[in-house]
Amino acid sequence: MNRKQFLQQLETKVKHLDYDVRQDILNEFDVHIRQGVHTGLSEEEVVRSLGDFDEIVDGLLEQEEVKTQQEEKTVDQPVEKDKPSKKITVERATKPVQNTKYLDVDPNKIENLRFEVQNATVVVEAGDKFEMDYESSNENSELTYDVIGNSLTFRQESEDNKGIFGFFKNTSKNRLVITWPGDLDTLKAEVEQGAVRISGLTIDELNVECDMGSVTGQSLIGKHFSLTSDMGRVTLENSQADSIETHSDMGTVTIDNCTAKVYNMSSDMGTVNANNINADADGTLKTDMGTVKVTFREAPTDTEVIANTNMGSAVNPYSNIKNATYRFTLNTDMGSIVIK
Amino acid sequence: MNVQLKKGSLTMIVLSFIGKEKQYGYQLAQNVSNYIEIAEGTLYPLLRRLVKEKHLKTTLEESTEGPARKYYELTEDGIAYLDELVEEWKVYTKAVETILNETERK
Repeated sequence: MNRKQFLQQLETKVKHLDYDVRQDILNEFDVHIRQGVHTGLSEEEVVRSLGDFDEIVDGLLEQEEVKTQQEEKTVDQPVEKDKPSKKITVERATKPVQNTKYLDVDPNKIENLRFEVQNATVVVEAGDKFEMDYESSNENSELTYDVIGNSLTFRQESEDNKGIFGFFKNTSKNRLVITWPGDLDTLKAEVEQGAVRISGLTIDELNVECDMGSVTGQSLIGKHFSLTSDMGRVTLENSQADSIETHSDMGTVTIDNCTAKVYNMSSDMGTVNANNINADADGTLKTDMGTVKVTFREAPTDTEVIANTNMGSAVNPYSNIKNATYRFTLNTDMGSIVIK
Repeated sequence: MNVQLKKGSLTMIVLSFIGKEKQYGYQLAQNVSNYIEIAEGTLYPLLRRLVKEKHLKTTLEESTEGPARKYYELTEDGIAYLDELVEEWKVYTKAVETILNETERK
């Protein structure tokens, strides 16, 4: 393609833009190609070095569209902290330690579980009766719990917590596993270092915040789920809730085979992936640098699907649906968008 | 090279070159492609975005050789934004480097 052909093709793609904008764009590419020619290249060579024509057009058109992005913030629930704790100090151990005997807790009276953890993997899974396993290879770690009203709170401290880079030098493996027999009103976990996995439970309000480590939810039923990790991946599978909110700063965010009325998924640097979800819902899916992928369980009929990308490509087979009851908005700054 | 990696750093690279000296599109494209293989055309959408976000401003200058050139330079906002990006980049690459060192297979 020579200069004239390139500019003519470009003009047809930007003809709906304002005159000034259009001239500015055409002029810039015209000057670019002329300058390349001036340095001794052929027009065709300079046009080739511009790269894929459609990608350039997509990028340009994206810039001229107005976008608004709003992130909803979750409101932290108050955590009771005033009564003295019963302490379980765990000896240095290389084998799992059974701590169930320490627990004089009646799970039937507990509606809320809280975890405040410095450095441990936390697992909460459904089971026939209440059990707790805490294993630690670190002599400086301490696990305590207390019951206030119908809330059971676990606190774990670990003195080898050395901030952001201490994580990489830390060889201890702390692991807290809770088996829980009933339904819960709330489950709230704040973990500085370590992964969190919650599975098989019915929880009205689920709120997990992890600084460094992955967050996984499996086979959960509830009303409001909020799963967040700063540096790890966030995954929710086979679950159902009124609203599902997932965020990771640096990791991939995935939901698979879920049903909700509202989806709110975001990642700053990772891919956002919604696989096999219901289309009769509202969704906001957003990432700065990764790809956004959505696969609907059944083809949407009453859902407006809007795909915005700054630099990548967007494949949106449902862009023809307008004025619908539901709306999905997908945004990525740098990556591409794929909708099926 | 990994496309995501490249795209993630391109804004910072572009602002850095322009921060060193104001330059026109073709010149910038040559500067970047001296180090990194890019589709030069994709720089223009990026430049338009950065102008829109007021990180860059433009001036037209006549040239003795060929048509008038549109020069890009950093605004004060752009200088601050570049500093921010570079700082984030340094922290991030340092963390990545640390991870790779710590997890290197012997």
